[in-house]
Formats: sequence, C-alpha cells, structure tokens
Amino acid sequence: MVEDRILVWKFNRGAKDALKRIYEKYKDDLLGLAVTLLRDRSVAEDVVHDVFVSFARSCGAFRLSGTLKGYLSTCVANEARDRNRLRSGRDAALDAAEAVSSYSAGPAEHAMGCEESDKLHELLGRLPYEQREIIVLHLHHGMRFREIAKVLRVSINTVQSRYRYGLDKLRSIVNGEVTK
Amino acid sequence: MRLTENIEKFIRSRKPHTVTGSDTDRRILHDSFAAMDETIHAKSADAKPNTCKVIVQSRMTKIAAAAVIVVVIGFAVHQVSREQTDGQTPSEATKSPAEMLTYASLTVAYRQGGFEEVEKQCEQAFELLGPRPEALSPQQLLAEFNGS
Amino acid sequence: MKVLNHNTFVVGLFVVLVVLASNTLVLAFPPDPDNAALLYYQAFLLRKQPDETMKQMLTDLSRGEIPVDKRIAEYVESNRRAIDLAIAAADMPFCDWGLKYSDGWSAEIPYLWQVRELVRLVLADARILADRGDYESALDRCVTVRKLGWHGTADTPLISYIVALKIEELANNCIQHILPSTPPDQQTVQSLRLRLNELDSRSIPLKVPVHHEHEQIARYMTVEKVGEIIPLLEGFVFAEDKANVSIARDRILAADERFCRMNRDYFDKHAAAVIAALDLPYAQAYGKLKDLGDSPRREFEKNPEATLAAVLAPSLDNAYNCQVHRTTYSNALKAAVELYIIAARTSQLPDALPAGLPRDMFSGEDFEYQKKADGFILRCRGRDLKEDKIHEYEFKVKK
Repeated sequence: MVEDRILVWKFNRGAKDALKRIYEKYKDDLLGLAVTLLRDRSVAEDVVHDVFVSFARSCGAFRLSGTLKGYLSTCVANEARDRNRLRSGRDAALDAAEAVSSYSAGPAEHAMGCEESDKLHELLGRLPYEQREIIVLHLHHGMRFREIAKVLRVSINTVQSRYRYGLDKLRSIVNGEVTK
Repeated sequence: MRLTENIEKFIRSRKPHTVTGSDTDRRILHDSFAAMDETIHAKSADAKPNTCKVIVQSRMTKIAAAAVIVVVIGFAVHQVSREQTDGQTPSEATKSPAEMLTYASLTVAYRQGGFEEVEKQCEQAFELLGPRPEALSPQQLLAEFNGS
Repeated sequence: MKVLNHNTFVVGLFVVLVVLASNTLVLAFPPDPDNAALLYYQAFLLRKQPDETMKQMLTDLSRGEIPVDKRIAEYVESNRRAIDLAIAAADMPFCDWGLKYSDGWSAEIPYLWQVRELVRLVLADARILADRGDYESALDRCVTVRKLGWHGTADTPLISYIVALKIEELANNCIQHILPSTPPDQQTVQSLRLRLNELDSRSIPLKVPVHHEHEQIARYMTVEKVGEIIPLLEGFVFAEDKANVSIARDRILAADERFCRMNRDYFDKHAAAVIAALDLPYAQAYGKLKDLGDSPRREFEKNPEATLAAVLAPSLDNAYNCQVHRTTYSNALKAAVELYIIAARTSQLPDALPAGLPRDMFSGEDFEYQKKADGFILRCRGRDLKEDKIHEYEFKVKK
C-alpha cells in the first residue's frame, strides 16, 4: 500500500507523526488479534505495547518487505505465542467487560454483532492455541497459509492440517450445542 | 444449521472489533516515542540511511518509487507541522490520506457532494500527511529517481 | 590481392567497431520515456508547494480574477522546469499512470489531485504570458492544460473523467479570456484552431469510463467479493438511511451464488440501458439517465435483485450533463475561433454564422449568433436541463 510505504519512509527519517499514524491505523486490529489469541485483554495490551516499542526502536533501519499490516500482525502473533508459552497451563480468562466491540451500524446491528462476536470468541477459546492462531491469522487477518508457515517456522502441510482440525473441532462443538 | 455449514464464512464475517482505550494509547505512544528518541540519539547524524537509495533499487521499482515520492511531496508539503496535532487523541483521525484518495473514497465524495466535495477531500488528504522531510529537496529526490 | 584483402579486413573491422561503439552509446543513453505519466511524475516532484496565500493567488489568477502580480510571476518562474516537463508530457500520445486495477475500489488515484495542481500552475503561466503579450504561447499553455486533463483520464475511472471535464472548463475559460486581447493577426488564431482540432482525437467519450465503472461494479457481484461492498454501503447511497443500510447489509451477508447471479443479471440489464441512453439526443438521454439512476433505489426495498445495483450503480445524469456542457463550451470556442479568423481576414465580423461550425450539444443545432458592437455572443438553442438555463458565451473582439 502506497501510504504505508510513505509512512515507513517518514518513520525511518524520524517522523513521530508517521509512527503515530501507523499506530492509529493498526492498533485496533492488532489488539483484536492479541485478545483473540490470548483471551486476556491486559496481556494483549502488553503485547501490542511491546510490539510498537520494539518497532519504534527499529527507526532508521526498518526495511519493509511485504505489507506493514502483515509485518505487525506477525510480530503480535510471535509475541503472543511467547506469552502463551510463559503462562501455559493457566487458563487465562478474558475480561469480557473490557473487550469493547464496535460496529458502525445501528443499535440492533450492534447488539447482533456483539452477541455473535462473543459467541465466536468463546468458540475459538475452546480450541488449542496452535489451531486458534492459524484460524485467526488466516480468516481475520488475511494471511496465506504459506505466510503463516513461515512465521511459525512449520511446514505448510502442518499449517493446513491444524487449520482443518481447528475448523472440524469448531463444527463439532457447534453441532454438539445445536443437538443439546 | 447455517453456522455449521459454513463456519469459515461465519468466522470471517464476525471479526471482533476491539478498540484500544485512551490510557493504553497514551502509554503505548509515549513509550514508543521514547524508544524512537533513544534510537535516533544513539545514531550519529551522518549515519542516517539514504532512504531513496533503498527505495530505488532497480529500474523496475522506479515507477512505484516515483509514485510514492510524488505522494509524499504532493501531500506533504504543508508547512504546518504535524506536531501541532499532538493534542488529539489517536482515534480522532478516522481516515488516512491514502484511504481518502482511493477510487471508492473519491467516488463516495463525488456522489455525496459533487466535484466540490472531491476537491475538499483531496485538500484534506494533502494536509493530513504532514510536511515533507526538509532534509531532502525535490531536486535530490529527482536525482535519485533518475539514477544520477 | 593480399594487400587489398588486408585493407578490406581493416575497413571491415573499423565499421564493426563503429557499429559496436554506437550501440554502446545507445545503451548508455536510453531513449526518452514514451509514457507521459513518467514526465508528469517528474513535474509533480519539481513543483514547489505554494503556501496558502500563493495557492489562493494561483487559483484566482488561473481563473482570471486577479491581475498578474510580481510574487506570482516569481513563483511560477521558479517552477519553470515543472512546467516544461508538463508541456513535454502533454504532447505525448500515450499516458499510463499505473493504476492498480486489481485493487478494485481500494485502488489509489493520488495523481488525480497532482494533475489538478499542475493545471493551476500552467494556467497561471498562461495568464502571465498573455499579460506580457505573448498570446500564442499563452494560448498554447491552455491547449496543454486541455491535453493534460485528458491524460488524467487515461486510466478511465469515472471520477478521473469528471476531473478532466472540470479541467477542460478551466482551460476553455482561460482561452475565452485571452482571445479578445489577441491582436487580430491570422497566424495566432489559426495556430489555435489547429491545436484545438488536434484535441478532438484526445477526448474520450463518456461511454468509456461508464463501461469501466460497470466492469468494476460487476466484479463485486460474486460470492467471494460481495462482502467487500459492506463498508461502502453508507457512503455510496444510503448516507442518511440507516434502515436501508441494514437491509442491504443483511442481504449481502446472506448472499449466495443465486443472489449474486440474479443481481448481476439485473445490473447487466441496467448497464445496457444506460449505455443505450447515452446515444439518445440530449433531452431524452438526460431524462432517461435520471430515471435509470433512481430506478434500482426505487425497487431496492421490494426487489432483492436490485440490491447491488442500488448500492453500486452510479447515477449518471450529472456526469452526462457535465460532459454535454463542456463539449458545448469547447464547440463554442472552436466556432468563435472561426469568427476571429474571419474578423482578422476581413477586419469585420460576419453578419451571420457561417455554415458547418461546431454545434450546441444541448440542441444538436448551430449556435445562435448575436453580433455586438464590441464582439459577439454564441448562444445555445437547447436548455441545460440540470441547471435549467440557456448557456451563452460572450467573446470580445479587439478593434
């Protein structure tokens, strides 16, 4: 995207407004990704914080290959994975009260959006981290399996099978609920 | 159920829109700016990268680079520093300059307010991106673009 | 014999070396680009950004609302290289801005505004040249601007076309103001006639961007792409109509193959009717386009097949009217140039409009000609249905 290249160009030359705009542009998406992956808003905010501070440190030497959104999403996914490993075994609860969903449409649409988003969030939370990560990166952040494989340092076949197993599991959870 | 039939479509259409709080925004931007300052001060003045050379690495990329540079110069040359906007919360800026100049965005402007609205939107896009870095003149950019 | 062969060999070797050397030179100095956009991009780069005051002054001067001022002249002179590049670019037949069509509605058109800014600069230069008495160059700049405008539409989105029409109007306005000051010599006006006639091959009929717009819209009428329309809903048609946004969003979210196919069929019929309407005489075409622009939105609530057309199909009556108006203005200028030539040749204006001159596009007939003491008026015979008025163009003639 042309604008991102301009922003990176300015950012590398020390323009704080460029960093600010990059933050404004992607913060909500990145926080959404971190919250979905970690299911803990405060940890997710720390992840976004660390990613941006680290990005800011690369000023003057940052080289963009691919998209800026893809790069930042990858950083968030990596950081979230590290955090998840650290707290593995502990089932972090999402502070749902803090996770604000915002839909631009009318009130009815808003209610429907929140309800279904929460439902999805809950469903995804029941998947193993490895499967959730791939489903979210692919379906919400538009990353291709090849890109995800590169980020996770696993084969594309592994990515595809985790994705498939994840979707199968989601289906069976939903079917279970439907037949109850 | 529809959900089980097309779970991919369901997940895709229900991407949660999580919004950062203003305290979080302030904390992250504050720490990021501090980190940026540290990096800049740690570098000697003459160690600044020649970004143009980075952008214009091959003939094939020159047109794209020219387009980027043109946008930078075109948008950016307002003499009002973006630092003046620091009082705003980040969420106040809803549309980015590039978004304002997309096919869709300009078409929306035209459909809603005619040519005058297109003019207004383009002017705003110019103003939003801030000033061109003063260290590099258009002539220098052009020299880099032409490979001389 | 042996000596002769040796000499032949040496001469041959020399020739080969010369050929090789010249080839090397060719490789060292590549030819000028044949894509005007590359020169325009350089002109954009070199154009100095004016401050707010200068910007306003440039706009006013390009419209002829203020006299030439020393500061503006200095600013314009400091942009000489950018102007020269724009002139060189405008003369080139081919222009490709590199618009990334595959991005669809997200494609960025940053050059569009740059073109308009460059236009202001070149028109200010035209006014300055006219002020200095160099009318031929001044008129030449105006023609450059018209070419520049049409280059701006080379990538053919409808919005670019609208900007080009606006640019044509500005250039025509400048020509209309400069012409009366031009000394009554045939050379200047004949040279202008030649240049204006050259422009005929540059202008693009409205059908081209309309086709482009239709293709663009049809691309989104598939199960894979239809979801991308959702963010456009409010902006495109239903700015203040939340209920319709909600209906359209629900229909699009539930879209399946059948829904998309039915909507595509509906839209194809709509698009064919729009294209056919463009061939009708002005009054009929305008009425038909106005009706076609409204019909998907009228049917939208009760007919789900009209959903995507209601959201995406542009209402073309404004663009069409704008195009007819600009063409009429350009035709009036061409007709006026013929009258100036007659005046230069015979030292007086003719009593009646000569036959075969370019016509008023609102009526499809010749302009109404009114001779005055200080010049003449060319008046349209057809009414502009959008603005609800009869346009007239006044030209003064230097005695």
